[in-house]
Amino acid sequence: MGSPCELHLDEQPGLDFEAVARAAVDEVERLERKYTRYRDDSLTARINASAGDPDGLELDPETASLLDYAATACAQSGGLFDPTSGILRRAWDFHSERVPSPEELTPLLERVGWQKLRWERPRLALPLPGMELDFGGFVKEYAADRVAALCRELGARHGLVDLGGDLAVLGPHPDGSPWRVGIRDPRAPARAIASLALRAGGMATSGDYARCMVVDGRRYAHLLDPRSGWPVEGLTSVSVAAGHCLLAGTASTLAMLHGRKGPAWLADLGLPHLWIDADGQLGGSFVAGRHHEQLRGEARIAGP
Amino acid sequence: MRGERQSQRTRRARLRRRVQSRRKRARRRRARKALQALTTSALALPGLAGGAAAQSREERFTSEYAYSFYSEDALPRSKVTAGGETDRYQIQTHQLRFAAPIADRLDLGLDVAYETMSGATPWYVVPDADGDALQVMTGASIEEARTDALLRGSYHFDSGQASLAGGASFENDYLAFNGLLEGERHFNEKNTTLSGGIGFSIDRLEPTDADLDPLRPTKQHRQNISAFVGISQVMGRGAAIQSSLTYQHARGFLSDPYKRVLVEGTPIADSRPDARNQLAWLTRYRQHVSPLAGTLHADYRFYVDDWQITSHTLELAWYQSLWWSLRLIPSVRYYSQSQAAFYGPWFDLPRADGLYSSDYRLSPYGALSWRLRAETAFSTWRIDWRASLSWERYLSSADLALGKVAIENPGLVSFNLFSIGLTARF
Amino acid sequence: MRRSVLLLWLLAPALLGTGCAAVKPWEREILARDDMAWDPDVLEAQRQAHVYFSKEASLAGGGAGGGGCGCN
Repeated sequence: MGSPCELHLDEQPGLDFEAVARAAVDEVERLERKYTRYRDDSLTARINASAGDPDGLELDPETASLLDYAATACAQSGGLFDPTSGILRRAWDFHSERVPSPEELTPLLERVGWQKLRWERPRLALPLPGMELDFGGFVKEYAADRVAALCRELGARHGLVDLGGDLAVLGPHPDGSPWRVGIRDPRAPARAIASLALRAGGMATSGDYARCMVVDGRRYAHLLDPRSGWPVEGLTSVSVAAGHCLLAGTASTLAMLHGRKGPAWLADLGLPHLWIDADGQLGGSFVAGRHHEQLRGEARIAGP
Repeated sequence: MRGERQSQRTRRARLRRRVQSRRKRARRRRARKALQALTTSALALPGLAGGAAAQSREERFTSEYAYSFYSEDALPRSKVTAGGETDRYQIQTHQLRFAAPIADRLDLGLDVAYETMSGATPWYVVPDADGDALQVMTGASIEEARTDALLRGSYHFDSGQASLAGGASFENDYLAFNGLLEGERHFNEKNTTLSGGIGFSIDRLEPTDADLDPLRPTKQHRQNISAFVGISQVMGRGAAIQSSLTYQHARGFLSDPYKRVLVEGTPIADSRPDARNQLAWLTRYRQHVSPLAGTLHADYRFYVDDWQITSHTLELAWYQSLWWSLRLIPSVRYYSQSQAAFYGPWFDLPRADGLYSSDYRLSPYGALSWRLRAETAFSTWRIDWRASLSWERYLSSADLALGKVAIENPGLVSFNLFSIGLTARF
Repeated sequence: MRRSVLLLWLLAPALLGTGCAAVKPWEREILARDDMAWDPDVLEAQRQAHVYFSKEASLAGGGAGGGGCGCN
């Protein structure tokens, strides 16, 4: 999954911890092998290799449901959430400190757009050669939810799954108290800028921690708007809590893509959230006090 | 002129604000709808639908058992007629409860209770030489058993639930059937809940040992119907309040076949009206106090009926969570009732309506009880357990009543109630 | 004095309603505690209701429980 993954399980008499841990690791590895774009034998690679073929390929129920979810997210966000936008990355070479020309961006933009693929369950076709589908934007959060559900099926009732910052709760501590999680300070990643008490559900954080590129005095961040191909300015980190980590992840990604309108969108959405903008300003329903130096924001969650 | 321009400006500003807030509301609605659509889509994912934490409906099979021992204080000799029994009632109760989800939206539950009762009970009251009240007790020590069963099915909708229940109750001398239909509906993101229901009970009495007591009636019937409405409201993240009105109409043989009353020097059969209308208004409040790791329960009930009895009940309980999943719950209850119109310890003059009773339960008095309960929870493989232990001490007396009482009924009861319980969820 | 008391009684339900901001489904972790339930222990509630019902004159309230017994 490209980041440190942890499974926390509380003391539970009679529970076969090894079996649960093994099942969790197996599930994460399975999802990684299936959806990663870094392997030639993954499903993603097969889907992308079929680009240009009008017949496409038939998908299994799990992938079909994930695509249905992505379709809903894309429709509800007006095209902001778009798993076909991965190829835009190729135009932006952040090491070269160069802004792409229209000749570089246009051919890529022509191949981006959810409406351009043909998804009729269970068949998916990528009609234009060079189109790519990237599950990376939501498969990690889905994996967190899946692992939590799996552990629960195996009898674990008190635990927390942490896949590189995407969290899903199995259940609160045996005495009923919630899990306390900290949200990283983007300027000092070893420090927590806020803490959250989670009893159920999940939490995801989207961040643009890498330094932006500065060309001719203008700042360019890493996050690209799928509709224009240009970076989005505004927020450096968004954390959202929801009934499922998958939902939390979609919300935090969308908030980042809304840029400066992110905080207002998050407020409208109504989920507990925390945002940090490029100037270091903090806000959101986690934030209790006004002085972020001694921030101790708390938000609490119960299951849906 | 200037005034007109100013008021035009204010009007425009107000209109702008209204449009802005309407747009804001529309944006919020759209965002919430988007969230709903995403949630539904996420739940359609295989292996994720079971992710939500258990909701109010039964997610698992539950079985509960409780045993309790009820023991009334013996009456002081000074309050009983010469040679009378002073020991009173003792009851041992076993309660069993099972509940389980049986289909996607359906739960089934079964409650069974079995109790054995023995001891002497108050019969009627006589004045002694000084005009003080003395209790005449039944001589024989009654030994009885009661079995009670109730079957209940609940169907869960998206915003509420409906339940249907039916049960029966048997004793040596008593048989009853009852039914209940109730439902509740949530509003306002489950911040407000409206509930209501109707129920009925049909009872048949065949008082035992009718030959021992020539006044004891043989086969009698009574029936009652009841209805309630209630509303509950979440007051904040850690507080909630509920208020409900319950009405019951009873008809038939409502007197106590085992009791008599002294009228003009002769003990006649307990004679109550053959109809009764009762109303109870119950308000409950729950408040969690996080820094103390405890929750306060406060319940108040106001009761009135057409036998002219009114009563007030106040119950306060404090749920204190301690270490090791232990919880200690001290509670106190105060109760005060006024008397029935046709109640009297004895009657020197007859009543025009021919109604009489000297039952202490229709007399004016107050009662104070305190209870201490301890609970603990622990888990073994795949089963979550809960165990509890409690003790209650209940005292009643005319001095505790809110109003003035001329003669205290000598049969007022005080008791101890011990119980232990065990619950298993799997 | 009497008029203002009457006004307070009429307004009270409205005041009660407006004073409470809706608690969101994900903010219900305290309300979901079992000691916040109306009857945390069903058997205890049934037992208490039965004992008080058979020793006192009042109706239990809180529901139209049709359960009868020969005890009253």
